Amino acid sequence: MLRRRLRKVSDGHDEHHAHIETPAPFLFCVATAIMFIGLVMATAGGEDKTGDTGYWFVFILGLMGIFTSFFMWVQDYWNLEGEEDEHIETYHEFWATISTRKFGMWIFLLTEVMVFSTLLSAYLRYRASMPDYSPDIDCGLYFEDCWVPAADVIRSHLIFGVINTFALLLSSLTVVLALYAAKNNNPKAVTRYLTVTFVLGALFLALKLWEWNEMRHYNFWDESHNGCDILAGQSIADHCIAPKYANGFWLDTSIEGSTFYITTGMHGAHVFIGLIALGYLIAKSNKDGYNEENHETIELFGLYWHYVDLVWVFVFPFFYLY
Amino acid sequence: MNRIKILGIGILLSIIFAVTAVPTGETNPGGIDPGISTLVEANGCSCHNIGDGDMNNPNSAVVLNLSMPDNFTAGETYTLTLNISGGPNDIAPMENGPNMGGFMLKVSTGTLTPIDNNVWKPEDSSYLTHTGGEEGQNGDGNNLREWSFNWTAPDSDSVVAEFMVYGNSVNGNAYEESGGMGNSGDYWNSGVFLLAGQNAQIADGSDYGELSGPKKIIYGFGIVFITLAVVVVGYRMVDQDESFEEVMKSYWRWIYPWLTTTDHKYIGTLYIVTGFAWFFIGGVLGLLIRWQLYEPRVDGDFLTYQEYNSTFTMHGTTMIFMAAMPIIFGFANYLIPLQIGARDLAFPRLNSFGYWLLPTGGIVLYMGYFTGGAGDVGWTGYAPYSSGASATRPGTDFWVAGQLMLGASSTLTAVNFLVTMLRMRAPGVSLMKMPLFSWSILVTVFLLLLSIPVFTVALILLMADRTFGSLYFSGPDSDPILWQHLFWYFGHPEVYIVILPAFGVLSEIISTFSRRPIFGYTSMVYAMATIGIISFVVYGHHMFTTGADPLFRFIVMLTTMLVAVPTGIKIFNWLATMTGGSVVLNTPMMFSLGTIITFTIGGITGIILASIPLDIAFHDTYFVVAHFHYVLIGGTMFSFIAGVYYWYPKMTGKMMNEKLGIAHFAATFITFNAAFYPMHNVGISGMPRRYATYDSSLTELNQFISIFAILFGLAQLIFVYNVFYSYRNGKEAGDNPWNGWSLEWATSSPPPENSFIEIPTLLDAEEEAKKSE
Amino acid sequence: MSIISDLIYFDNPAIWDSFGGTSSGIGGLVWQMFIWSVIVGLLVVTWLIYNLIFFRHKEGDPEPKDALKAGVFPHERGDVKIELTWTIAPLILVSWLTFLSLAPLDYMWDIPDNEDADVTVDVTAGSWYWGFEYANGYEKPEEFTKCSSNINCLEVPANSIIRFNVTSVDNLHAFYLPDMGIKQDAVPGLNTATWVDTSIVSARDEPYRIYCTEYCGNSHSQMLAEIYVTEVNSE
Repeated sequence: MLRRRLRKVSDGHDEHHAHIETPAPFLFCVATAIMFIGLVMATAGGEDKTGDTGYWFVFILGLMGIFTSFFMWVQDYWNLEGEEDEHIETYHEFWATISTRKFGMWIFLLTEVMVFSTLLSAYLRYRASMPDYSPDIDCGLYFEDCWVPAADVIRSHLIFGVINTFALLLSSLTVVLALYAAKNNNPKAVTRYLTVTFVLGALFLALKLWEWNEMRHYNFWDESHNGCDILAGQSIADHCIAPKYANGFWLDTSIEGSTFYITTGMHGAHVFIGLIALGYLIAKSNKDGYNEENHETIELFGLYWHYVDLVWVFVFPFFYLY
Repeated sequence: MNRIKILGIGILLSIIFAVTAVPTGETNPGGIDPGISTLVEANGCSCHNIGDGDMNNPNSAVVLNLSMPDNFTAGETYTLTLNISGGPNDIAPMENGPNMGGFMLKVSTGTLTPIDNNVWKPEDSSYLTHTGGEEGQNGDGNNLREWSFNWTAPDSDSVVAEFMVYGNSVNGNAYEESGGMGNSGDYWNSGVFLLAGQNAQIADGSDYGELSGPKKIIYGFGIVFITLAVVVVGYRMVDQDESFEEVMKSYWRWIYPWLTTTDHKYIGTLYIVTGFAWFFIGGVLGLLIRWQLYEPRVDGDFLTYQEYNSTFTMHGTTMIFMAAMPIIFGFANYLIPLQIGARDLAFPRLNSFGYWLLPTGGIVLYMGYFTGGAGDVGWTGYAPYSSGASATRPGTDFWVAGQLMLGASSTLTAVNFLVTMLRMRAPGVSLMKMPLFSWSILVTVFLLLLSIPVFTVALILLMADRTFGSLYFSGPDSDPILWQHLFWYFGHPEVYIVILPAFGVLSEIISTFSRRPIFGYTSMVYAMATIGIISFVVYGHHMFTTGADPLFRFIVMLTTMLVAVPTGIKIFNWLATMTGGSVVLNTPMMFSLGTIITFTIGGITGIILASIPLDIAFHDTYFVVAHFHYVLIGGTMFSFIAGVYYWYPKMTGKMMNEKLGIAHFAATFITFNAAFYPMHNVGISGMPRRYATYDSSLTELNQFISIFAILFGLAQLIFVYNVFYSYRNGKEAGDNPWNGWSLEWATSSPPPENSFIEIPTLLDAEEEAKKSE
Repeated sequence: MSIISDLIYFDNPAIWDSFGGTSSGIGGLVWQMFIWSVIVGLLVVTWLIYNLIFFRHKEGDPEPKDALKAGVFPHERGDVKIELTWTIAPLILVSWLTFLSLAPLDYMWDIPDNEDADVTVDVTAGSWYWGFEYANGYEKPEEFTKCSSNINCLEVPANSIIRFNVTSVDNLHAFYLPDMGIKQDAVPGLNTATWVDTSIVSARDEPYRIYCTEYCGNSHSQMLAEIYVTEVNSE
């Protein structure tokens, strides 16, 4: 019953320019609303306003609806074998140098630049408001007057951040290789490269979640979890824990935590969404859907994926090294 | 004729039935004695040198614990114990007393009584504090970190008692510095503890079985709508002898195309209708505000103060995000492809997605009304009230979530329009040959792309603070002004986003009804682009009183003054267009001219507010409310109402009734100015914004405003009637009833399915002259 | 009648009198803003009405030469000289108004130091009350009898420079004295300052108003306080 139809145009002049009818956007939005209602009620509803756990069911329902509508949406593209916008002509040469969808992706990435600029600027604003931790300055009883960055928490286990960085950089390369393979009519290679990209991306997310968990329980430092004894003159360099992180380093511990988790979390969410899109690409390439005539979608995804990678190139030094 | 009479009576009866079925009830005060806010009580730590280091901020290291029974019975006396732990006293206790800890405790209802000499109650006060402080209360209270006292419950056990506690953890290390007083370097914290009576409910303060005002309205509308639907369906089943399935199927066949369309014309229509529907909902909220302000009222007289706070919050958010922007996107959706000679937008499915996020996002936004109160943080959502103590929960969370969806909608739509307008213009439509409405949308989408994501991130940070406890705005080291920077960096381009398309509409209408080209097309384009660019560097003028960097505030004053210049150019160009033309004074033209007048007034008050010394007096008073209503209603809404009158023939193929239109204009213009102009006076007299009640000396002016506001709302019914009446009975419009020049007038009314039979070519006036030779 | 006179004459002594007549230049600024607003407003309305009278379309009028045709981009119409005029003139006007704002701004922002002010008051805003403390060891003169507590009540000497150090303990509030034109946000975690010269108002028995003017929750409109300006004979 709910299938897309091409509306026939009455005057017979141009059957190409029919308007598509699709229920997917409508259902996507309804599902999003259900998801948000579930999320808000699950975290802030109930008698005591701290969350009504029954609503997690509603949240999951909404998520499932979102996935379903996403599938319905891409169903329109599943069987396409060429660029859809070859019907859209451009009568002004200057703008004809870039395809419509690619242009759209670049503009969308512009908005994403604003997103991460905002996150980084909020971080920098707070970072600049306090001196960085140093044993030579008075940081207060709980080190609350100094900035004890996430970098300090993670320094001894930086290898994972480095692995993540390489994974992401490598995955950007594999996407480009997949695109070349498509242009060279090598569908099996396309699938292989896209799968490697997916694995690398998933590895990134898995490592990140594991890192987060370790940091949250402050497992990266001294196993005995000893706090710094200020009266005895200890400093973080002695591998003791800053007193304000005595209960772990999480986003409600301090502003260092909030900025770290929210920024890396937003980046991780973008990686996650990329992986979902990548799933579609892999499925389609698996049935040899990409070739010399039809590869633009890989290129579009590649643009997005490069951008996610670029953001990480900024996030990593700002939060892991500095 | 008989059928219509029967149907009419049936509908009338069903409305009467539905209205009587709506449950009655009373609005509920918040459950907290309103007197608490005027209780003259000491700040808990006034004895410990405010302004001395950490004494400014509560510190979460200090843990307060008040042991209480589960609930109370009326009139009973209970012994409660307050315990303080954490803070420097744990690490650095006083070596040789005195002064280990201190407290101050007050309660909203009931009576407090000390039971030993560690606690005392100052004369003429109702709060308790520790002894051993000053002024000769002898006792050991200052040496303790735990105190007990008695509390006698009030006579009603269906209320909730709110205990407000301040606790101090003394820093023994500071004994020397403070000259033996031991009151420096202390950490303190405060907390609220709720104790419900046996028959009270803590959560949303409403007694079981009673509905809040907003719930009644929503349920009432629901009942009326469902009853109406039953009557219409039933009538049709009887009259046409159809089965229920057949009736449902025919309605489904009618509605399904609307749910699944990606045609810019249908989506545009959906946007416009949705936008105007929410405009009326927001208008009802506005009328609630004005009725509340009809005279000074106590809490709960008409609305509770908390309900009032939700009302003005939802009024602002609805009007900007659910009314103004959708109407703009609606006209843009419908007209841009027509004006540039394209068949549709670049990404039709994305267009549909952008639209449907709107009603669904709106529902999420309003969910607060079902859960104890809609968001009450003001449309600006200033932290830390919005990130912490906001009184409505989860209403404020729904407010945040709904706007996340609406922000996504605007961003994706902006991407769509930008690509369309740059890539899909017909032959001959170069950028400097686009109609000015198209240009206004082009500049607007740039503003959207660069500002909405910032707001979206700010909302995410706010949501993180509220839901996950992050400390962006709600911690002791957080900066509330960061929120203001993030919000207004979006917020100011936002108001230009809603006014620039209005400028575009005005340019079209004034040019068409002067029957001559717009005066100074090129300068109009450059003026809009300049306004767009400058709009990003003026946002600090909303923050003149915050104490932000003086250089920042000064620069922003300069740029704000500067942005008046391109705006003035546009106004003068419109007037010059009319000079030497042949002015037709029909409804769209009258609304446009009315807009020029009201927008000029709004612009002038904007210049007044741009000057920092004057803004210090006027900021956050009704003067600002008057200013932005003059530019938003008098600028945006009037222009788009004019746009409806102007493009209605194109969209429906029917002309609107001119007499009703003039009547609508006259009623609207007069009541609008009568309602909003006195707000300038009220503001100069000192009435602050967002006040639920006010000084009684301003009663007369406020009554005048309220009455005309209600009349202004009623005047819009003429417009609604005209829209529906003309759809059935309007004259045939023809392709170009107004003799406009842009490409939408070169296709039929309404346009065919694919908008143009053939993609047209826009000719230049010189080319056209050559052709006809 | 009073409504009409309120509408026509901005009849509020608070802003016109207390701002005007001081050496700060605010009086000039206010007056100029008012005059130029009226002039610009009248200019626009007059020009509009002029257009409606002299260029009204009547039946039988000939079509203008550059009348619009559907599908044809019209000939550009304009006059560079005229457009430059109404670009430069507003530019000069707003520059003038900005210039006029400088003196009052400087006066306002020249906040006296804690030591230079006659009285320094620490203002603490909370939900929903105002706390006042005299700072710098100021001793309350015996003439100050109006306030029985330091919450929601403040008494200051007449004809003195009063400096306010403003902060908040929980949410944003704003310290607003409408009769003296003072407004300063109270930001938690930040100390902001403002000042007033109480010679701009007269000493009297009734209090002047203090409002909170930054939305702060349920009792935002109840967060009122009183400030008394009292003659002090010593000093």
